[in-house]
Amino acid sequence: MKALIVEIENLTKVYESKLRVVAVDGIDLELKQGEIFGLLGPNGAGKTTTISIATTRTLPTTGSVRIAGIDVVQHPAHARRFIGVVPQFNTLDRSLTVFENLYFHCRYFGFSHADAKSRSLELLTQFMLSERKDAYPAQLSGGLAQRVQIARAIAHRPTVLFLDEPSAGLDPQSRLAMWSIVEGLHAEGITVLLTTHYMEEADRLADRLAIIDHGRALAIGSPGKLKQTFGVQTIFNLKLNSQQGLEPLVARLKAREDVTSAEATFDGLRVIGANSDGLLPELVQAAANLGLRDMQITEPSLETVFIQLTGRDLRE
Amino acid sequence: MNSFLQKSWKSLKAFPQMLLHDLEMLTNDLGNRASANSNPVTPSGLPNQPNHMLSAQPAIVLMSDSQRSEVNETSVRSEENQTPVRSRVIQIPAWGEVNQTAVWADENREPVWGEENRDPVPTEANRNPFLRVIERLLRLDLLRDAWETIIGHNDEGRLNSEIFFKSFLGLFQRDLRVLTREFHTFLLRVGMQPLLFLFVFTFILPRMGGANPMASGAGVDFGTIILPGLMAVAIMFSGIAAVALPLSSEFGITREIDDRVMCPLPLWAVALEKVCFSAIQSIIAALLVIPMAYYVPAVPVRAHVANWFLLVIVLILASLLAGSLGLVIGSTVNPKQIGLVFSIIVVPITFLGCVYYPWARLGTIPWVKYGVLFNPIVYMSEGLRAAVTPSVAHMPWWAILLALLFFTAALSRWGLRGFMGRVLS
Repeated sequence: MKALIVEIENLTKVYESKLRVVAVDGIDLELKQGEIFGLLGPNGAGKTTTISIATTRTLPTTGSVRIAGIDVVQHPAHARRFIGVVPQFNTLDRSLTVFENLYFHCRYFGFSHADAKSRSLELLTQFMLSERKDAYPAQLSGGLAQRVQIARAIAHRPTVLFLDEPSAGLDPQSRLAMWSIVEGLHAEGITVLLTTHYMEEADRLADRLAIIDHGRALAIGSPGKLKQTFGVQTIFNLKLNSQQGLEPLVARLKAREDVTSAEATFDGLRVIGANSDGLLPELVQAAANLGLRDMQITEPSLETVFIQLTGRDLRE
Repeated sequence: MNSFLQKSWKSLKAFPQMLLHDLEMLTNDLGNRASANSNPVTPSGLPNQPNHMLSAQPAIVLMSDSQRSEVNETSVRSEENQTPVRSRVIQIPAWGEVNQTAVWADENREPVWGEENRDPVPTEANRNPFLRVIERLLRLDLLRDAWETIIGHNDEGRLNSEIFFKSFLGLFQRDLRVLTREFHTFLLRVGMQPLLFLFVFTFILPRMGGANPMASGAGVDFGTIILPGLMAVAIMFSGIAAVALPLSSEFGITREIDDRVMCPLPLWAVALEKVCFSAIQSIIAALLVIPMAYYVPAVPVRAHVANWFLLVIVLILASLLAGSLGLVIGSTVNPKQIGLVFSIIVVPITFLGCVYYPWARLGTIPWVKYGVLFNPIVYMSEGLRAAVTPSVAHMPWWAILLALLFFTAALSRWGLRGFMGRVLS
C-alpha cells in the first residue's frame, strides 16, 4: 500500500456573483505515491479550479485537500513546499534570465547559494537548456518556455507536480518532448497530477485518470479499465445528403438492442452501439437511401468513453 | 473614463465598508460571547476543535488526578462509524472547565481518557472586545500569524521559521538583482525630477533678477523650503514605481506574480517584501536629493539635522507609507488605468502635500490648511522638514509620527486586502 500524496475530499467551489457558478461539485480523489493521475474533461469542467484549490490559489467552498498530509487551507505556506506547479500560462519571471529563474526559485525554497546554483545547473543540463541559460523568457519559444517552467516547478524537489494543460499551445514536437520529460519524472518517482483535454495525452501518460464534467468526477480508473468498463461501444458517424426520412430511421435504430443511442446531427446521424454483426450492414443500407457520403467508425477508445459519459464531443 | 471613475469610487467605498464589516463581525462576536457566558461548556462528545482563527495548536498537558475534579460525563456514538465515544468535562482549578474525550472500544472497560486539550490562547469569544476592535482594524491576526511563524512553536503543519527567513531573503535578493542590473536607470528615474526642479527654481530663477516669485514672503530661501518636500516626493514616487507599476502588470498581462505567490511564505509576507524593498529604494531616492540640494541652488540651503533619530524614523516610516500606497494602487487599480491614476491621484496629492510650501504658512486659507490633513504626503514632507530643516516652521514631531503610523497601518491594511483578493480567489 503506497502512501497517499494528494487527498481531495468532497471538494466544492461555488462562485457567488450575479451568475452563480458551481465550478467544482463534490470531487473526491486520492493520488498514490509515484503515479501520474490525469484529470480529463472539456473546458469549463472544473479541472483548473480543482488544481488551483489544491495548489493553494483558490479557497474551496467546502471540502478539504491534503498534500502529503498537510491541509492546504489551514497551512498553505507549508503545503507549498511540497507542491510544484506548471500553470497554463507562461509565468516565468521576465526580469530574470533562464538560469536566474531557476536559481531564485531555489532560493525562495530555502536553498543556500551553492545548492541553488548547482541545482539550477543540473536542471539546465537535464532539460537541455544550458545553451539558453542567459536568455530572457521573452526570447524563448513556447516549447522552450514550457520546459523552463517544468524545470522550475520541480527545482525544489516537490512531492507532487501539478501540470495544468501542459500541452496547450505546443507544436507536436514540443508536445512529444514534454511527454518524455513527464515520463522521465515519473521514472524518478514524482507524483504528477495533470489536466488535459487531449485523449491521447491522457491515454499515453496517465496511470489513472478521472473524467470530469460539470464539476463532478464521472469515472475514475486506469485508461484500460475505463475503456473496458465504459468503452465497449463503437461510434458510427454518418454524413448524409438528405435529412428527410431520418426520424423513422432513428426510431428504428433506437429500438434495436445493440444500439445505445442514435441521434441526428447537423449533417447526418450518430449511432453509438456494440459493433455486432448486423448493425453496420443495416446502417449502410438504410443510410444509402438518404444519400450516404461519408462514414466514420470510432473503435472503443477513451474518446468513446468520454462521449458516452459526457454526451458530447470534446470542445477545444 | 466613466467606468474608471465608477471603479475608483467602488474601491474607495470598499474602505469604509471594510471597517463596517469588521464592526459587524465584532458585534456578532459580542453576541456569541454573551450567549457563551450564559451557557457554559456543553460536552460535545467530539474533541475540542482548535480555533483556526487564532492558529494556535492546543497544548497537550497531562494532569494528575488530584489536580482535577470530574464534573460531567456523557457518552455518544460518533455518527460515521458508530464507534462509542465518551466525553467528560473536568474541572481544573487553574484552567476552568476542560473537555476530554475517549474512544470507548470495549464497553465493559474503563476508557482510556485522552489528554486534556486546552488552547494556550483564550478562545475568541472570551477575549476583551476592545482589544478585538483594535486587532480587527489593524489586522493584528496577521501580526500574530507573523509572530507565530517567525518565533512561535514549529508544530507539524506550521512553517518553519528558518524557511520563512530564507524564502523572504530569496525574494529580497531577487529584487536586489533586478535593481542592480538596472541601477543606472533607477538613478535616472529618481534623480531627474528633483534635479531639474532644483535647477529651475533655485538656480535659474534667482539669477533672473528680482525675487523668486514662488518664494516671495516665505521668509526663508526657497531651496530650504523645498528640500524636504522634494525628498518626500522622491520617496512617494519611488514607492509607487517600485510597487504599484510592477504589481499591476504582474497581476494583469504577465501573471509573473504566480511564481512568487507559490513560495513557501504566507501571502502577507510576499506583499510585505515588496513594500520593504520599495522602502529601501525610497530611502536611496530621498538621500540622493541631499547632495543635489547642496550643489545646485544659488543660495545655500540651510539644512541642519538636530535629531538624527527623528530623521531615521521619519525616513523609514515615510518609505513604508509610500510602499503601502503603492500596494493599494497596484492591487486595486486595473493595469490599463495606471496612467490615469498618476494624473488624478499622484499629482494632486503631491501638489497638495505641503511639498512646495510649509504647512504652517497655510494659515491664511484655513479650509486648505485643514483639508490637506487627509493627505498622507503632508506628513512625509512635514516630517522631513522637522528632521532636515528644523529652522522652517513645521508640525510638532509627535503629531507627524502618529499620522505617519496611522496612514502606514491603514494603507497597508487596505493594500494587503487588495493583494490577497487578487491572489486568492
